[in-house]
Amino acid sequence: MTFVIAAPCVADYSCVEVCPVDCISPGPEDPEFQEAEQLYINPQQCIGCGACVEVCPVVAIYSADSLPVRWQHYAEVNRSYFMRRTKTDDVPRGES
Amino acid sequence: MSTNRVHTFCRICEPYCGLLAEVEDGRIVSLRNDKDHPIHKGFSCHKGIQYLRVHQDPDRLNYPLRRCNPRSEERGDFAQVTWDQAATEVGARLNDIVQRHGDKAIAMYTGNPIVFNSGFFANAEALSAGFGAGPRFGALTQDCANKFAGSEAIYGSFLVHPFPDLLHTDYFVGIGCNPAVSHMAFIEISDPMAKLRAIKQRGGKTVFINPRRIESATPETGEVLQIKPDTDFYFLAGLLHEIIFKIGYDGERVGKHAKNFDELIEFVKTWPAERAAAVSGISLETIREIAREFCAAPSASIYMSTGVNQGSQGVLAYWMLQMISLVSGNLGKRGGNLYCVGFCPTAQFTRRKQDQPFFDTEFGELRAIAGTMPGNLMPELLESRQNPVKALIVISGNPLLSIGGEARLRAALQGLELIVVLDIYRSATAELADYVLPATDFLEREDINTLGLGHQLEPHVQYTPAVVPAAGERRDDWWILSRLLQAMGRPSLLDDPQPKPFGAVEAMLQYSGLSLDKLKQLPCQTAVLPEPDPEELFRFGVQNDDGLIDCCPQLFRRGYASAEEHWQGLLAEPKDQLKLITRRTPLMVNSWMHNLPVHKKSVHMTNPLWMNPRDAESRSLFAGDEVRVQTDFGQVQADLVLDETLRPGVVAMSHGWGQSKAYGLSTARRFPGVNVNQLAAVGPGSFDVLSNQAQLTGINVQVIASSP
Ligand code: SF4
Ligand code: SF4
Ligand code: SF4
Repeated sequence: MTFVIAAPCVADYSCVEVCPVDCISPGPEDPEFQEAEQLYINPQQCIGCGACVEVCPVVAIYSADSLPVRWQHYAEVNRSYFMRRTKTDDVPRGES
Repeated sequence: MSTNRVHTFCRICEPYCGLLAEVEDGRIVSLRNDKDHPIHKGFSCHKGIQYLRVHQDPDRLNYPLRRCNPRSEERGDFAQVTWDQAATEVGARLNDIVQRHGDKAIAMYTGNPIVFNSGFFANAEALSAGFGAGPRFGALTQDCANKFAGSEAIYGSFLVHPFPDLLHTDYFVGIGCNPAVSHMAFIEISDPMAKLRAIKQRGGKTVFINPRRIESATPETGEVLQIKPDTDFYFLAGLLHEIIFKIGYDGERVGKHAKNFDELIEFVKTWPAERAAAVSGISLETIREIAREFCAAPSASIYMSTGVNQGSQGVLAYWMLQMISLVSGNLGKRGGNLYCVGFCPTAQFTRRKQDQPFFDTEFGELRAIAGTMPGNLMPELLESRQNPVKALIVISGNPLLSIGGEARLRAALQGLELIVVLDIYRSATAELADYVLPATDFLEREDINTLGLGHQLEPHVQYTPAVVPAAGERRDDWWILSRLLQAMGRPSLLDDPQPKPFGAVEAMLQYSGLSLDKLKQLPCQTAVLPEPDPEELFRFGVQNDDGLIDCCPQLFRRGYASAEEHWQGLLAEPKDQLKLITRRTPLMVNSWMHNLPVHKKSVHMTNPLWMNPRDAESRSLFAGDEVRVQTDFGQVQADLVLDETLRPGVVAMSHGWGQSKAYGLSTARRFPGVNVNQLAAVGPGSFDVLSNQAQLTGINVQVIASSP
């Protein structure tokens, strides 16, 4: 089960530190890092451990199967963020 | 620089998830979920992956330590010694103690991590016996002794625990469990949440029974019925009553496989669903509906875990659960509850030796459960006048935090002549020791997954080499205990110039035509075994002499009065009585991983009291308030966190905190939290006589604002 970051995210990076598989982007090495207003979870790599949910101060992270209705589309928003990146040959952080 | 990839597996909890380590120049540079693993296929949780941080933690023990200051001083002053010094000195002092006080003067305590260590576990009996006949204690009586006692009486072996066949079941009832966070105990299962989602996808249904709306309950799995804490026995008895008296049971199956069914009927008669509805917070209609659905489903399975185990009626609850499975025709049936032989049928090694296990002591009649005495009586037994204990050996355990009544136990430990602790960390308990001996972590030792034998949903056996050699002078637990025995002049595994700690494991593997060498040739060193035949339960599981399941073990009669008394007590309670449950969060496992900075985030920097907003409002309490939580036995201070997932009337805290005196753990000590077990009853009369299980959940508490 993958997790999804929804609208409330304030990009404070708490979740980035705790994620064991580094699948939350952008991180400090990424060019968008400075301007990022929200972070995204790579659905291909997320192991669904829920560690990030626990530390998010604004309850922005949901498992894909329990996203509140008004943020249903965020599963796609998270996914497409990584599609975009892969197209420009920028391999998402944490890809093995 | 060459990178070496090593397939290994996690040994924190039952799934034994496959992990892939990358090693460069003898150092592990990454630890990931193993996508090539034939069973797990990349499933793991963050704890397994973050174990690399445990491996690299600068606070880890690297050398044997000897205490230089008196044990009355709270903080140990330790000096590095060699293994020879440590072993010789400990050996001499143990011999001296045995000479003066006899064969029962050395006690032992084993913690939970050791069961995931096959080099130790396969030799555990011999290693323990080497130190004489003193009392044995363990984490067992804090979280699952009721299951051991229950299955020993019903099936004839304490290792027979028919598990839900989640791959095929059409209906699943999960009580007091939270698979999304704890990944299930007493069943070795990969990715339990995926299995639960699949039940719904194939048209089946899952029902959780829990005082909390757990993370596992999602639209894709199933709902939670929010039961009142510690009423699970009544709920289960009510279900069974419905099946036997209203719906009808599978008499043929019962007749073929079981005995004493009439006595069971007599007992169940006294616990109709109305009585369950009166105390459990689950309506009569709902209990009836679940019973009907359970019986109507083509196959149905049932499971309970720590939330029930730690209550006051854990053995009786487990008994009811087995009987529900049996009389509904689901025991030993595909999609019901199964036993799985795996690579070796082990139930035969743990056959019940006597029908009447109780013996007289100065503390009344007691029994051992899987060799283990009640943790709640540990101080009394250590100070026994009949059989005084003078030395304690602690193996990867933390009794000071795991057993209730911390202060009382601390005093008893201080009265001992010698404490030796084997651990990977200088834990709170190690702080009290005379000798602290450094053990290897799971990345530093070879192993196979033996613990799941009997309850593997997807049977397989994996070998792992040590991913890297042990750092410093860390040694395997089997070696350390053998070295101490050797120093005492007693036989040990080290008598063999080429010690064979895996000899017993090899013998077990032979049953399936396997060997460690054969496993080493396979991808991920893993042999995938055939799925269990449902009949295996009756052929290899049941160990009673007549081959029949005992529907009404005589032994359980000792628990009848307490079930009645507890029920009456619940009825008489004031409506606004708060009940404390213990809760495991995703960022912790008991007292194992408290030294990882990565887990000290947001509310998890401490051990808060979680409370439903309605209860807070009626008490004029607010989020962030400091509150005092108290019982007749103790009190703790905690910060209040509002949590609407809790049933009103229920508050929660986590076990494993209270690290303020763990001077060797820099992170844990910075975020000490409080030890919730201080609130639990301890001492004579405080534990379940059937199983030695302590009650650590469903505790009546008062919550009061601390004066500012
Ligand atoms: S659920 Fe786990 S793996 Fe997925 S993004 Fe969160 S922390 Fe990372
Ligand atoms: S913790 Fe929450 S708010 Fe912070 S970056 Fe992650 S999702 Fe956004
Ligand atoms: S689920 Fe258990 S065995 Fe698997 S990685 Fe997590 S802690 Fe380890």
